[in-house]
Amino acid sequence: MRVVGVFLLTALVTLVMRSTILAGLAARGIVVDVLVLATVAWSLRQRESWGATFGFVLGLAADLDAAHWVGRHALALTLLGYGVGRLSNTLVRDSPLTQLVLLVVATALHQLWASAFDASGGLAAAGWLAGRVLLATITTAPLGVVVLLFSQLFTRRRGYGNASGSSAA
Amino acid sequence: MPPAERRSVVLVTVYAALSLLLLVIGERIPAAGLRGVGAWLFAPFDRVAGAADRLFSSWAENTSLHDRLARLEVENARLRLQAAEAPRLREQLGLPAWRGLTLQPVEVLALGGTDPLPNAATLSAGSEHGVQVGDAVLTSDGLIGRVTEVWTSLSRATLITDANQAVACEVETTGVNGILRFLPTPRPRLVLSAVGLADTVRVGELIVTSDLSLRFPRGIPVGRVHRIEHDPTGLMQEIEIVPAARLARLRHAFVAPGPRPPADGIPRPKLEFEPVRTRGARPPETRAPAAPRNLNRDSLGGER
Repeated sequence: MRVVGVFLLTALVTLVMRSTILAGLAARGIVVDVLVLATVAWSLRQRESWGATFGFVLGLAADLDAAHWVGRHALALTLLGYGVGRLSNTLVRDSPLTQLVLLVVATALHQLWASAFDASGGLAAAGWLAGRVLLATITTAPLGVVVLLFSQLFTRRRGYGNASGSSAA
Repeated sequence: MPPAERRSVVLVTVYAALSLLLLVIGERIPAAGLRGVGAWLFAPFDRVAGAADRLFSSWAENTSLHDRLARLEVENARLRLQAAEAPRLREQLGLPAWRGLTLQPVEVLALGGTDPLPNAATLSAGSEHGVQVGDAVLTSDGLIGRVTEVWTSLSRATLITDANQAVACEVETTGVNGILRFLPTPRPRLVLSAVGLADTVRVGELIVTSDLSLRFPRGIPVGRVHRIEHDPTGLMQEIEIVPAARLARLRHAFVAPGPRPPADGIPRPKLEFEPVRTRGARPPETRAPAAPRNLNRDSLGGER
């Protein structure tokens, strides 16, 4: 029951931040992919089943908000949540380097996938898309590592564990 | 395969299948009701987040508002003199009379669809405040979008940064017509398309909503010409526009009634746009000569 409460709270905070503070930043060109950040953080902690569920719910909410291409975020975040959850069984999840690499890969994949729906303009668009993916990645990944670090400090336990499965979650 | 792993594979397969199904049939789902429930649920949290954001920036905003107020007072005095003769000149030229639109002040609670820019906004007024689908949404700087979904106490506006939104516009000085669209790639920008090569447009000119628009009142500022290029066919101009409204800082806006179909079904010529009143404010006194009214776009609302 506690997991469900934290699940709902995390999703709520993520969506509110996305539609208020981060939307203003996005209009200035600073893209923080908070959907990926939250999904990766949740999947690292709760493994693949909860990771996929969290990604699906969060993605569906974002899709309904965007009104176009319903399902694109849901599909991408479901697969990312599942993938990161599976990997968390075999990786040292407490390592900031691991978290950074996961966030870089996940953000790049999600941004590429989401941008593909708007893509037009051939090679001219490729440069802009690459820039957008790069920008989102270099803002989201380090921020994600810091958020995960604070999350661990805040909960005062080793919430993410390691490959042997010694998670306190 | 362990049962837990099998369960997670089934789960992710179901989610992926559902997502793919939504991608195929998503446009046919009546999602407006769901968005309404979501907006209602999130509105209190959005208000809290918005209040915190405002608190942090209130000092700087207060200073800029004082500057703006001083500038507008000077400008208003000048315009009052000019506005006194405008009705007489319009009458002599046989032009339709000005119509004062009622502006409903609203709060922008949240922005939606940030891929790559916000393309929708949740507004703090709904049908109980008189907001209807089709109403124009603007700030004191210019047009930001149009109301597309209305609920009891909230509504949702589609912004001009939505790729599916098109606005009939014209160049203020020359009356050259075009269609404003948002192009997300190769880089996100507002473009005035369908402008003939023979039409003269200069960088820096103001673009306003056109009388040809069936959705927006005429004369609302939209943006300024930033760059002029040929479209891919080489037959038309493609004009890049810098939006007049600051889309990165949307907090307060106004809802202006869009064109309504006449009750008797007989179309009438549209009246020109003169935003002078906010709902709840006292209407201006009528006396001869007509009371001076603000005609400048800066006088739309004042408060940001």
